[in-house]
Amino acid sequence: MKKVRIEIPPVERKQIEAYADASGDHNPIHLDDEFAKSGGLPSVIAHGMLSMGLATTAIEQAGISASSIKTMETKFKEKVFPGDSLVAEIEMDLENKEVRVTLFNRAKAEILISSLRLF
Amino acid sequence: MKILSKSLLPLFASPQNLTIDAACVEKFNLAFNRKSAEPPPTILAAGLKGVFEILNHLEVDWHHLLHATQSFQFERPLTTPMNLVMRASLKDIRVRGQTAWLHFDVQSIDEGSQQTVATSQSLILVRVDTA
Repeated sequence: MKKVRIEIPPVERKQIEAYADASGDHNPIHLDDEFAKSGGLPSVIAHGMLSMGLATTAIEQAGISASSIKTMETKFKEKVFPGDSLVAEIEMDLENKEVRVTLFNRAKAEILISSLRLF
Repeated sequence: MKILSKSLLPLFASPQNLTIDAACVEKFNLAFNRKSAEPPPTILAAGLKGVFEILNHLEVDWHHLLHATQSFQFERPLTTPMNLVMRASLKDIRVRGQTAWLHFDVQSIDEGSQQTVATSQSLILVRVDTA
């Protein structure tokens, strides 16, 4: 079992906007502060799928290619706000073709947990 | 919001087309701080547009949604170029107390071969009583 820790730079609003543009997910809770505040949030939140994409980027930085991923199952646990710095802790069992990544924020709260199987 | 019950099932979204090419990958790379030319697996999140279409059909309040889980199963790696047709459906609804569990499925089919490239599942939680 190999363990890798990867620091992810603070999530920027322009990344959230880029994700909305790429995915077509223009839900105002991700793009409109007033809408987000009307629901009790302090600001917009990043798409869960953006956090999942950042976790996948960290896995690639750990040496696993995107094309080798056969399955990926993710539980979303906490919201990500603009400016949040994240850390990916990756556990790789390449003999059994299994990878697990946990994304944390600076307060060490779990953002998401992903379990992967590789081809 | 419409009353969420199994009597609504199954519910299908209109098909969504996704062309995975270099430009599409670059758009996702910008969001993901990524430089690879390989399509990221989460590029299939584009199929969630069908899920949102069904949520809008159900008149769900977007303030009261929680994307709880997301999974992808690939039959083969994604490549560029690739033209996919993505078909989302609401497969199951469970209501307990003030929370509804909506189970969505998205099939991603290669337009040329008509073979399934990937399937994905999304579990969306909805607060049904906001009084």
